Amino acid sequence: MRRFVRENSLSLFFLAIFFLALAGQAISGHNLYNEEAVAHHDAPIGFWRYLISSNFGQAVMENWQSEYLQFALFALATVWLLQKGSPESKELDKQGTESDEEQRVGRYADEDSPRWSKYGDLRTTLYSNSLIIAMTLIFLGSWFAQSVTGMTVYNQEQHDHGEPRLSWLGYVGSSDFWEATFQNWQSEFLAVGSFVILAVYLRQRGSPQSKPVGAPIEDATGTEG
Amino acid sequence: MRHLQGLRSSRMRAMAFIWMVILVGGIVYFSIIGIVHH
Repeated sequence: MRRFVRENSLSLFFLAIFFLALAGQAISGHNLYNEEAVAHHDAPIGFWRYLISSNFGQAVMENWQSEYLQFALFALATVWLLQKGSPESKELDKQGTESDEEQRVGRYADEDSPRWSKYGDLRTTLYSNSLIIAMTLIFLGSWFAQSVTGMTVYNQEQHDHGEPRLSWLGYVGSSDFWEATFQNWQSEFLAVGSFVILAVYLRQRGSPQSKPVGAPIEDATGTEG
Repeated sequence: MRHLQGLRSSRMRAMAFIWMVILVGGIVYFSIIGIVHH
């Protein structure tokens, strides 16, 4: 058991802080919701009711979609795009999807390679892109969830102000939806872009996200420390 | 030893499965809430 915890400490740590942060968001979000309800002379709602509200759903989903867009885009962009000197980039001569031999695909697969990497047919193509496919599906799913929860919240406000409600398509074309979307996207793109270029010049000793401390600035593209 | 290795890799698969349940579950849960206008 102790060995399992040590060998999986990275994902266990993030699983734990994910639930703590989500609980924090639920508690503070519930308080905020009720503060605003009281200010508008509406009745406050219970905590469990808040957990099944579109307000909570929209707040969670708009952050999820942007994170998964960022991961999918980064995994895809780094196949072809390079950053000289960055540990986040591939080596400069390895641009592209690489040969079957380099990727140990089809007849170049090893005995202990995953089964789907060996077939050399559509299954191998699917498996070769499975990470991006999964990330993209999670992105699209959570973006859809953002759109339907956002629509419900928006329409409740419209109703309170005696304004007409929007259909789903109407909401997907609205400024409310796109402002929430772009607000999350811009921060993801900023963080990824700045990380890629800062890691050329800055170091974190011992982190695989960094080059070795003594690695030269413009060299060692795609090497981990 | 082999048995222990098998146990460890099945625990690891279980963890990957838990992450997927959180993701897919979260998306389905909030999609339904939004669709039923809660």
